[in-house]
Amino acid sequence: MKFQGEIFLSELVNKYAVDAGGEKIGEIKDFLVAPGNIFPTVKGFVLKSGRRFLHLKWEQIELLNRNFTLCKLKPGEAEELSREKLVQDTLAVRDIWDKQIVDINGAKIVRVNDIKVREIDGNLALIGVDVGLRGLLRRLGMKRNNGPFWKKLVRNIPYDLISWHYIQPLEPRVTQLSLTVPKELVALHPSDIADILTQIPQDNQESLMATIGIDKMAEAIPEMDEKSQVALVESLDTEKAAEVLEAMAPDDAADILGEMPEKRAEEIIEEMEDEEAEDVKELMQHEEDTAGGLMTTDYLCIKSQFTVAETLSFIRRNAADFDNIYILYVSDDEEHILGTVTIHDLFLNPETTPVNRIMDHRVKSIFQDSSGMEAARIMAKYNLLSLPVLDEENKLGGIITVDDILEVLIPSIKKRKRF
Amino acid sequence: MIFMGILGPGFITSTADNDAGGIATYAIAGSQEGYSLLWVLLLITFSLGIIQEMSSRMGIVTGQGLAGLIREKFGVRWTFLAMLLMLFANICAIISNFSGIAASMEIFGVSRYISLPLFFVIILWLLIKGTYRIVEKVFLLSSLFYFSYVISGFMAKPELSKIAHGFIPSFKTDTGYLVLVIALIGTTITPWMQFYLQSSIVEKRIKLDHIRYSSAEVYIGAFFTDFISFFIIIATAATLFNNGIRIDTAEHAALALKPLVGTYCSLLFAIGLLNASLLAATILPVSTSYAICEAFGWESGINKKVKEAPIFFSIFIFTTALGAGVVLLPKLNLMKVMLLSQTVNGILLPVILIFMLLIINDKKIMGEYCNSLTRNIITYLTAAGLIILTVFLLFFSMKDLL
Repeated sequence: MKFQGEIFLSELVNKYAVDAGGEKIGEIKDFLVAPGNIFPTVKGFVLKSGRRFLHLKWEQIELLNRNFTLCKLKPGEAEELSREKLVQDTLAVRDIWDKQIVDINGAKIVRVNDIKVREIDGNLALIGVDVGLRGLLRRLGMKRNNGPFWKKLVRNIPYDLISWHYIQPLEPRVTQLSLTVPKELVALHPSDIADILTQIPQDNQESLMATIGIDKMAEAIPEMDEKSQVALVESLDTEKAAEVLEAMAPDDAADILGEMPEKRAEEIIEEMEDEEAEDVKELMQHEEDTAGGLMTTDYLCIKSQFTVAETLSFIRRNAADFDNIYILYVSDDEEHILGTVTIHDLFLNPETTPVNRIMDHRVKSIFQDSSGMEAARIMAKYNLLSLPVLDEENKLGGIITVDDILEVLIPSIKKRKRF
Repeated sequence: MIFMGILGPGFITSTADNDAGGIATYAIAGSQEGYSLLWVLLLITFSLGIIQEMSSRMGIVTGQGLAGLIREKFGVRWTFLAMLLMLFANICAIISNFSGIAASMEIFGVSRYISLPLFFVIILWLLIKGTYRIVEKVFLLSSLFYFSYVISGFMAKPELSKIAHGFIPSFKTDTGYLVLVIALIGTTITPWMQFYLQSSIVEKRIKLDHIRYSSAEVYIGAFFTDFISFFIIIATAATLFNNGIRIDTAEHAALALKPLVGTYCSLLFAIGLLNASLLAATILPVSTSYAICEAFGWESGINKKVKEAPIFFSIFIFTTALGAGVVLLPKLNLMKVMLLSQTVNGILLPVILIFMLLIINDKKIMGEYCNSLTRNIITYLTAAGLIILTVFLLFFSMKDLL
């Protein structure tokens, strides 16, 4: 047991490591870190002696405390640290201290002020980070003082420690040190992920993306403010951008592509799957503030002869690809709307009932060139969750959903600016 | 087309550059020394352009503000020092701008004991309501007022030969002169501008391939602001210096506009000064809070509730209150306060410049966008120049005391 209890890395930095003979080997300047069984572990210390940097392996350490570190080495036995190793490896002070990370519990960005370590199974493990005022004070050199006056003064400063389980590092080199994080991070609400994404620089956005995956990204991106959405998607390579846009609802994808320089947008659309590309291109043809610009092609259409049972199985088959399955539009062969059926209606009626008997004939719709405000008025008046949009030939082109209309009515709601 | 989208940060920062302290310093420079400080202004314009470009480049390449970069590269202790200095310099600048508010309102006949608390409340209300961005834009438009100095400068018919003479370097070693020169530099290139500009650039999310447009906008902004400063000096030199009038109050400074608007000069000057002071007085506290919270990882955001971001709001309420409060002290010569606060800025500027230089030359952070040798030299020279001037100032003021 080399070390008892817990200690912060700031308490070890600049302390001396001494050899078996009691001679000083060098000052502790940094710590080499690598993934471990559960927590990342410290593989070795970086010592400074004069102008040279020395490598002290964990196995070579005999005893560790706040005042000094005792090693099993004989004088002069310490190995010098090569530049390549310094460049390749992850160091705690250089790469983790002072950098921003994601606090998953709080769904926000914080800065690492200090790192807590303890010995687990013979290894020195990084178990948590200090993101609060205590960490700052410790770094400023305020020593631990057990006097009663000091204790009283400091008692009210809260501890702000986050377990390593709940952080997601953002620096590319350090992301490999995160724990079973993908699960927890991915479990965050897309809106929270969007908040986090908005606050971090581009490089870190990419590494976060790699961790949470394309599907989660596609959910989070539409929750960001428009400028950030476009900036993010534009920064991806064409293939990735296409994948992400395909996974999004077509109207959200169309909005982003519409704000990009034409050439770039075309490149990405080229890469997308034909069906999705068609949908998106169709939606992009409309002016932003019109019904056509607000609508999505994500809706389900059924024929009037369908029975309740057939409709339900139709929904089941398509639920994976469509989000708006709660209201179905009954159309004829020419894509004109005859009526609407809700899931509510389907559950209330016997399986064999044909849909044309239970559908609502009083369909409210809007033309694709009408304004967003007009659509909002209609939806508010008739309490609609979605409003069908018709093209020049009176055919169903898409639907406007209530969440998109909210943005028309309260534009400031989605402006999640960074400053 | 792209340029229009990028227009903003450089221009806003440059216009805010001509705040109360700026106007006061340039006016005093013209009235006290005539045209002889024009050479300093010319040199600083180059420095300003380059330093602003550096801020812009760092913002675009890293996507982070200056405070965040300082924290990530230098750690907590140095950041603490940098933030302390920035806080001090900013508080001085806020004091200077509240002096400007008080001075301009006095021209309208309103006592400073009424105008200061009044505007303190107005500014806080604007900031807490979160509408300061609109305020920013409004004040920006009204900064067209500065052209009145340009026109006035022409109308005062200054002797061109004397102006040309002003571009030849000359130097004096009395403390008053040194204070003025340091203030001149400190008001043109302020510490707070570097933080503010970089944050604005980051927020605009300018893409890397548009970096040239951003640099262009920043250079143009720098040129524009110093163009105005140039004319402030000329106008005051032609009207005040030539007639031996020294500036003790804002009324005197307003006389420089007489050629243009005759007896309305005070009114025009007061409006312009009030406008400039309000713009800076709203931007400064917010910029200070953002920088400090960014550096230490505290919650920030003008659109958050006070409970959600307590430290952020505390900082800007505190700095604004201190700024307004100091100006309430009795027997304060407002013009002097405006001048001296810029001197403080000038003295502290080299520290920030050195931080910036160390960051911008770090390949790990900037990649291929590091500084070129010329930029490094010019910036180091600027910093060195300021440090030398400060040393001179200390030396000569010691000499005066003994």
